[in-house]
This record gives sequence, C-alpha cells and structure tokens, in this order.
Amino acid sequence: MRHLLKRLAILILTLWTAVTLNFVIPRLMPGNPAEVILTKFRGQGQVSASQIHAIEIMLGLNSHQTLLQQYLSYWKKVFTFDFGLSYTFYPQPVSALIGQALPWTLVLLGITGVLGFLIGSGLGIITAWRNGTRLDSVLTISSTFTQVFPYFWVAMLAVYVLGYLLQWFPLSQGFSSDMIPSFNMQFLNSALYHSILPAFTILVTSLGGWLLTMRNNMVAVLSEDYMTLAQAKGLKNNKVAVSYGGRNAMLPSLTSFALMIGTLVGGNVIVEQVFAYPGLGNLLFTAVQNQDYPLMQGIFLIIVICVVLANFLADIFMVLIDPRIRREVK
Amino acid sequence: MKSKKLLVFAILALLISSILTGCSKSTTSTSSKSSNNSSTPGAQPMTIATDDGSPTFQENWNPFSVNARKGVAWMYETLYYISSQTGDETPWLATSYKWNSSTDLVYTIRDGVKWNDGQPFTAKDVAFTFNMLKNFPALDSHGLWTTLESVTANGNTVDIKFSKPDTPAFTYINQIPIVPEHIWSKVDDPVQYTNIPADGKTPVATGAFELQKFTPYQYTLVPYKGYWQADKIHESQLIFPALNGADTVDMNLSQGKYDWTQAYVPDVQKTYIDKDPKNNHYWYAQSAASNIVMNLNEKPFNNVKFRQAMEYAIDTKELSAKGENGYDAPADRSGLHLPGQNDYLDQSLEAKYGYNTPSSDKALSLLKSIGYKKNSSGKLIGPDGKQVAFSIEVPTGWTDWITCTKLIKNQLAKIGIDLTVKTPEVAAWSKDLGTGSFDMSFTTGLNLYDPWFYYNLYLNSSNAHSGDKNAAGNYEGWKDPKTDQLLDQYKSVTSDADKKKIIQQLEAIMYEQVPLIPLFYNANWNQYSTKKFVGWPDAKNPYATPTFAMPDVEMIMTHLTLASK
Repeated sequence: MRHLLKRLAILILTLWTAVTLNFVIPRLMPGNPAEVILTKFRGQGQVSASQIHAIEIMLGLNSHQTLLQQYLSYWKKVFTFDFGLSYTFYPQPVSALIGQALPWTLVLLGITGVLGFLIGSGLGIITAWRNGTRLDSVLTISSTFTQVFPYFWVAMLAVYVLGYLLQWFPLSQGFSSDMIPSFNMQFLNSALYHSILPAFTILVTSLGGWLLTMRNNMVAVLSEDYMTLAQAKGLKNNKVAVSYGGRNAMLPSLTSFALMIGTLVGGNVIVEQVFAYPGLGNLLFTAVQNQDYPLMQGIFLIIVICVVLANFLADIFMVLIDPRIRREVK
Repeated sequence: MKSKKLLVFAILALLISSILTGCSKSTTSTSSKSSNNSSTPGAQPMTIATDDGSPTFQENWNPFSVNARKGVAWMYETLYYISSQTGDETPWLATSYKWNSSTDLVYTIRDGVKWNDGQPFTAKDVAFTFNMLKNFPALDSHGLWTTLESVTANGNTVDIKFSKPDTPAFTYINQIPIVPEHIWSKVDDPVQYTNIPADGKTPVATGAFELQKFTPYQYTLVPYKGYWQADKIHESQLIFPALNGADTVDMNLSQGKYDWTQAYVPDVQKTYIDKDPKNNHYWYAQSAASNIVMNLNEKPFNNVKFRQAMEYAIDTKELSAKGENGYDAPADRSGLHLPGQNDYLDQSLEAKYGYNTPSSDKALSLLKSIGYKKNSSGKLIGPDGKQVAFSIEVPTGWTDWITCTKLIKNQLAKIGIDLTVKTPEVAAWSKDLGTGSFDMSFTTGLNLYDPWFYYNLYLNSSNAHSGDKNAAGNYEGWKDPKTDQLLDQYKSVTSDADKKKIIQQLEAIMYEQVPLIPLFYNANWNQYSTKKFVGWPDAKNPYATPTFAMPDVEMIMTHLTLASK
C-alpha cells in the first residue's frame, strides 16, 4: 500500500512537471505563428504588415496577457479539455482535430504494436528454447537484419514494390479518396485495405527487436537453476518454456511494452507521413511545423498523460507478476 | 506438413488481398459515373493538384480564411481582374470603374449575374462585403480600411470613398471575393465561419463552379449552370486530390494523372515534359523580383559604396542559372518586373551604372576608394584593419536558396570576403528578418502589377523594424524621407504619366543608394497538360498568372477550351 501511495505521489509530480513543460517549451520556440502561417504562401508573394496584423487579430495573439495569466488559464483548460482553436486549421477546435486523428493512430499502431510484441516475444521464446537449431539461426539473423533497417527505407521499398510496381496496395492514405468516414462495410473495407501496407511495414521493422530482446533474456533464464529443477521434476517442455522461462524472461520486455503503449498515442510520425495516414503523428508534425501552440499542447498533453499512466500501470503490474519486487515492497 | 500450412496461408492471404482490391476498385468506378453532368457537350473532367492535405483536408469554404480550401478560388469572384504580368484589366463582376477624384472610386456592377441559389447579385452585395471587412478587421488582410472611409451602393453602382488618397488600393479592392449579403449577414462571426453547406448543397457564390462532394482526401466541383459566362466553361468536373505522403506529386505528374499542377519539380524536362512532349508543358510565370537584403544598420552595409560594390560582385545570372535551374530569370536591378513593366523603365540608369553586368574589378576599385584592401593572402581587409566577413541566412530546407547562397559565397570569395551560410528554421529566419538580426538574406516576390507595391513593401520606412515593431518587408531598414515622400505622393496621382515619373525616381534611388539588390523573379510553378484542354496562359500569351488563387483561376478557366481530337 505504501508502495502504491509513493508511486501515486511520483505520478502526480511527474504529471505536473510534464504539463508545465508542455506550456513552457512551445513558447521558447523562436518566431511568431502568424508569420509562419504566412510563410506558407512563399511564391505567392511577400507578406505585408496588414496581413500579419489581420492574422494576429484572428488568432488572438495580441491579447496582452502576462505569462502567469496564460499559465493559469492553461491549467483551467487542461481540466476542461478545452484547448481552443488550432492556428493551422483555424477555426477548427483542437479537441475535434484530436478526436478525428486519435482512432486512426490507436487502431493501426495499437494492433500492430500488440501483435508485434506477442509474435516477436513468442518467436523469441521459441528460438531461445531451440537454441542452435536452424530455425533459431534463420530467425535470429533475419531479425538482426530487419531491426537495423531504417523504418522509412522499408516503408518506401514496400510502397515502391507492392504499391507502385505491382499495384497490389494503395500508395498512401487511410482510406479511398471518394469516401467519407462512416461505419459501413464499404468504408471499413477500404480502411482495412489501406492499412495493410503500413501495418506490414511496422510489423517487419518491430518484430526483430522484440524477438532479440526476448531471446537474449530467455537464454539467460535457461541457465538458471530453477529451470533445471523444473525439468528434473519431469514437467512438460511447453510448461517449462512458457511458465518458468517465458514468464521471467518477459519482465524487461514488459516494461518497454508498457512504455511503447504510452508513446503509441502520439502516433508514429514517419509511418503516418509516408502513408499520409490521418493519425496523430501527422497532426503533431503539422502542429510543430506551423507553431500551432494550442494543437501542440493538446497533443503533447495526451501523450504525456498516457506515457505517465502507462508507466504507473507497468509498475503495478510488475508487482503483481514478479514476487521479488513484492517482497522488497513489504 | 509445415510447408503445406504455409502454402495454405499464402493462398488465403492472396485471396483476401484480391477481394479487398476488387472492392476498392469497384468503389472508384462508381464514383466516376456521377461526373457526367456536363453543361457543354464533350466537356471533360479536370484533375487539379494544388491543395495540400496534412494529410487530410479540413473542410473550410470561407474565401477570407487563410485556411480555406483552394477550391474557393473557383467559386468566388472579384470586381475586376488585373493581370500581374501585363497590367491588363478585365471587367468581371463590375463592368466599369471611374476615379471621380483620388479619394472617390465608383464601380458599375454587372447586370444579370445570379448567385448559385437563384438570388440576383447586386451592388448591395458588394457594399456589404466591403463593410463586413470594416466590422471584422481580421478579414481585412490587405488593410483596406486604413484608408477607406465608406462603401455605399447606389442602384447599380458602388461608391468607394477614401479618407486620404490611396490609388494603389485599387489593386487590392479587386482581389476581394464578393459574398452574398443574404447569407453572410446572418453569420455571427465571419472570422470563424467555415461556410460548410448542408448535405448536397454548395456554398453560395457567383463563380463558375460549385461544390459537388467533399471527402477528407478529395473534393470535386461541378460547373454552375447559371454562371454568367457558362458558355466558356468546358470542364464537366474539377477534381482536387489531397497532396500528401508517398503518393507524390512528381510521381503522379510523370504518370500523367494531373491536368494542372503547381509543383516544384527539380528537373521538369525529364520528369514531365519528356513523358509526353506534345501535351506536357510548363510555364513558370514570373512574379516581381525577390531580393538580397543587407542589414543597413550594420557595418559594412551602412556605406553606400560598399553596397554598390556588392551590386557588381554578386552575379545574379549565375544564381538564376545554377541555383534555380534557370526557372527564375535574373531580376533587373531597378527592381522592376520586366518585360511587363517595360514602360516604367529608365534605361539611362543601367547605362550609367551597369550593375546588370557583374565585375569583381569594379567592385574592388569601389572598395579601394573607401579604404578596403586585399592582403597578400587575397583576403579583403577593411579600414579598421579587420578581415571582412559576414553571414547570409536562408531557411533550412529551401534548397534552391541554399544553393544560391553557396554560389554567392564563391562570388564574394573572389574579392576576398568570407561569407558564412546559416540555415535556421523558417520561424527563426523570419524572426531574424523581422528584428533586423542578420547580415544578409533573401526575400520573396510579389504577384502584383503596379510597381508601387514592390517599392512600398521593401523601401517604405513604415515597413521597417523599429522599437518592438517587427519589420514587414523593409527588412534591411531603409529609412529615407525622400523615398517615403515619393511613395506617398504616388497614392494621390491617377495619370499614367505622373505615376511613371515617380516610379523612375524610385528606380534612381535603387541604383544610386542600393537599399537592396534585386535577385531574380520568383517563379510561379505551373505544369499543365494540353491533352484535354488548350488555351493555357504562357510566355506568348501571358493573360493571367497561374497562381491557383483568386482571381487568376477564374480568368484561366474562362480561357480554356477543349482540345480538338
């Protein structure tokens, strides 16, 4: 119980720091959002003072609030989940933009993330258990390869071969151009079809990491005395591999999995850029490019909260599955 | 056993993917059916690649919004069209205009124009639009109401009165999209208004096209059948795909998927023209000069002789050819946009100074006259005994500009100057320009015909940095009472001869004082296909600038005709 309270206190402190930094950092960026909006029009001509002025009025940038006042009203907004209107997509409210983008990110990255973890770790257990067999060498060597591939390279290659040359899959986008998002079979089909290529590339590049971590942990665990004991007791191989080996070898991977689930909410900027996927990563990228403070704050806040919460949950989960930590806590 | 399982799995995967591909193909074919509601026989759909998705579109049809979808330019119209290439004026929603005095401008409004909801378009709509800008300064992006006094409708005329002479405002007045009073008067806050119509409807406008369908990755427009120039419209449908992701513009362009686009293509000849030399074309219409700005509040640029030396030392022809692949022609050192503004040119200035012919010898002899020397290792030493070194900054990622700065570095090295190239983020760069914290940089060009705009933007002291007010255009900090007076005087003249006299005095200031160095004419990227449509503006017939903005597009759309088969 004391452990839990301590964790909670740390959680609250972390949240406060993160939310405050979230307020401060965008304001340290040089430049002025109005000018950034207007530099988009390069080639359409130089920007006049009156144009900057008009945009400043529109965005309310000339409100002469002190930093403290802004900070206080920012906290109020945090609790009411009201982040005002985006600069880049003015007059769209930040909450609506995030609401549109979040499901795409959660579904694509959530499913591929969990699948990657499960399949990768599962294969990791198998390769470690069958250490030295041909299966092990093939999987380990290929994972070492795929793990070092830069994601964008794999993605571009997949787009070029599967999308451009063979034309099996669409080159980009989350769904077909002539569709309006809705819950009917036709749209879901299209969304599923468009998600195959991004999902495939994410899996290809993420599996290796999970596999190798799991395999290394597992190999270390295999030499433990309790493994020999379990086998000596005459337990079945599967049981020894999964309940004795896997469970213990899983612990470090679980922590990184929890962290990954937390950051997943922020989307994956590269994946979403390459595939023009309508998720949060793209939204964040656009926000940063355009110094869109309200939008940046909204997205970062969600990421921060999720990362901190995921960490907290991972901590608690560890207590549940690792008896050693439980003993320390007591 | 294992291999059998794998095989089954592979077949299953193939099956699933083929079913899915099948589905998506069938959906695209149904959508193209709906596009056959053409008004002229043989009309064809046109795909226009100009609107960036990030990655998807947010719907916004408010023509005053900076974030409006680009399609609004095909829907809303303006009073007059002024070509920024030639200065030619074409009556549009107004049939004529007259300056009663330098503070009174009267338009006669076109008869028989109807909004696409059937209501008649009147002078009242025009007056309403302008007065709305007064009530909502956030919409008045040209700052019209700094000099306007009143806008009133009388019968079929609109009377625009100024509080002080401001004839150049004419150009901006003709860029204001006219909106219907019967719709917009009911809008509480037109600044936040997104003008999204009810399902199946279109925003109410007078223009040639109206909204057919909007989806996050694409929208389509169809001709408005009651358009007052409907006989000149030969497109059955306009398709605006969202530009984004791996589905790049270059790739689609080279595959001939677009009829019209505005991409920067590194080697347009190879990636586009060579794919279909008969139909694929580009015309990169010039805008007014962009410039090299020097910080005039700083040594050594506060010395006019030093600036003149820079005119000779920097070879803009090389910058144009190597930095911009020849797409941006070098600018005339008067700052005029030639050949369109040839009438204003005072040729005696170039004959006297000859800046357009670079010469490092002339630069060096000028520098010697003010106490600069080359030392034994070829470095230029200033009168203070220090080596001359300064920096030039351009935004990161603007690769053409960065190439140019590297060329300038070499050119200045010839006369012994050390130039450092800095590439900050766009935001940091624009802040440095605004606050005068730079040595040397570049500015972009303007798409406006009247040469006053160029000189006013870059030379008017009110656009310079002062106190906590950031510079807007006059980044170099040129503060000269004579320049300001000429610019102000220009606002009250209406005759062409008087205008020319004032402009030529400004040209003289450019040559004698060198407040900034004209660099090259910015190109308006523009690639088009003549497979389906002909009559595009080009160098031989520059009737419009392909800016993909209001009011240029309406001009172009009414000039295109079907290609004969």
